[in-house]
Amino acid sequence: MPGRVASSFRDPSGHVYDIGGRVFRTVRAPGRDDFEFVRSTGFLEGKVRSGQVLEAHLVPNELLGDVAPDACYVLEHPRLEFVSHPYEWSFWGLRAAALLTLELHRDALRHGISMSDASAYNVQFDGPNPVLIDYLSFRRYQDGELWAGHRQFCEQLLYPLLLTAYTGVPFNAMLRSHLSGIGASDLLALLPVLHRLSPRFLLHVGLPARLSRTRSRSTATTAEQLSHTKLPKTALLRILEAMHSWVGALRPHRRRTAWQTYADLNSYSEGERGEKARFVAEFVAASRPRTLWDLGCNTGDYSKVALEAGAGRVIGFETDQGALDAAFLRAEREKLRFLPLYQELLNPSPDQGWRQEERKGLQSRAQADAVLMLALIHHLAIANNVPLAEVVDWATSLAPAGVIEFVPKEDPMAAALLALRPDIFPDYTREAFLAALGERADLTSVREITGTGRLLVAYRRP
Amino acid sequence: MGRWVFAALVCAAALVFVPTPAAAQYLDPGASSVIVQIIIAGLIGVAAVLRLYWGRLKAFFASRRKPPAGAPSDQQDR
Repeated sequence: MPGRVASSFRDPSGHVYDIGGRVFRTVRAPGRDDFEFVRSTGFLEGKVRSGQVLEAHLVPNELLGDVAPDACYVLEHPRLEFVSHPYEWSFWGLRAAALLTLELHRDALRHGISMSDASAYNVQFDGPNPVLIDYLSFRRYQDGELWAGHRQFCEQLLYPLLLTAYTGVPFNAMLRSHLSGIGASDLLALLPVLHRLSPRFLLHVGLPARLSRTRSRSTATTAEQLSHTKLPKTALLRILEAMHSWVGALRPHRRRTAWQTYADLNSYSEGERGEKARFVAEFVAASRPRTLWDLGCNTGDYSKVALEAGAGRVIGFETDQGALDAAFLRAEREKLRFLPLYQELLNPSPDQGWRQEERKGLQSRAQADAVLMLALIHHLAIANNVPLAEVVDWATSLAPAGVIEFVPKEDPMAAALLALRPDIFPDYTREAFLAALGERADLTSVREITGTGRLLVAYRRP
Repeated sequence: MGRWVFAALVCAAALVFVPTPAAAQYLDPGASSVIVQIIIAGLIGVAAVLRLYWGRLKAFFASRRKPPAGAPSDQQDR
């Protein structure tokens, strides 16, 4: 469908279109009555004001022209600077999305509104703050209706959180390969027996896992009876509230990770750290990026420096879960427009889902105005053998401007990577780095910041 | 207390299969999810009933132990 966002096909109530850089949402006939009812309650206006739901306003249907002739209404949303996926979120990000979903459903019920789904993909982030983007999730509450999104909530939000909270295994890889979420049986098989015994665990995980094994034996009659089951509103509210208190109490089960204390254990002196921050601040002040990507953001020290120097927002990418948690909590605590995401830069999120278009990969979403690649180059080029010129080529392809820190082999952090292996990197030199970068961009500033020869280079593509 | 009585009544009703027109929805809730929700509703109902009777039981013993208001205490008798 021309202009239609590839992931917008499940709900017949309406679709999302990306046309000429503007984002529209149609309301089609199956969703018309619900949309009109929800609009009449004024509920969403309040939620937009509190920042929990993405803003939208009605625009003339003609704006979509012939693209969506079946639209009863057309809404326009502000364009999101960056669309992230649940499998890229930190534990705290996924938890925030889960809590938001439950709070919105609970509050909606008090206005006679319910939610037709509980997809984690309906949530996006503005800095560390979750915001629901799908207006058509809200429907008129039908007396006795079930929580239609219960299973979806469990598989996409609750189970991934339980996995990390109870085992310490990050949910990201599993959620990335199972876009519909983690199944109850898989989760059950992974969890320690001790955790399987609590009543709420038995109800929301153990029982669905057991039933999913016997479901094939259930008759059509049972399914027919189930489809007519009524759930009192008070019970629905209690289920939502109990789930909220469960999710709210979850914490990642983690030991101290290698990089979360990097800020204290690196090879810089205090003065050198200050010099690095000054360089980043000067670059940001001069280039004024609306969106800046911080590759290997660690706990977000330089993301914060960039924001304070005038960057509009920072998307950070980090592999270390401990550092990622600390970065997300810092963004929340210090109210930074900074979203740290899990991303293995050697194996970034791919284009995937239906027709491999539904969830875009990292490269397809590369619309940053600038990138920071600080103290990362040696991990890619030495620890992982990526040729130096390719690292430079990749970094400069992500945004028109940026700062790259070159870490020479003499630096203790780079030397540690070579301590147990022969040096097979004769081309990993300061001169080769500067030449590779110079071929692709204009070097606007070059500064050596440590006694060991670490070099900061700001560049801009012609 | 009235709140709990109400909760008990409506939740007990959840255990009954009542045919209703299915609300327009595009998502398959899954049979296991429906069963889980029915069981939770039933448990909430049972808990509400138990709470109600526990409250009555406590009130019953409390009324037996407590002297009626205004009655002179043993201390004052002496």
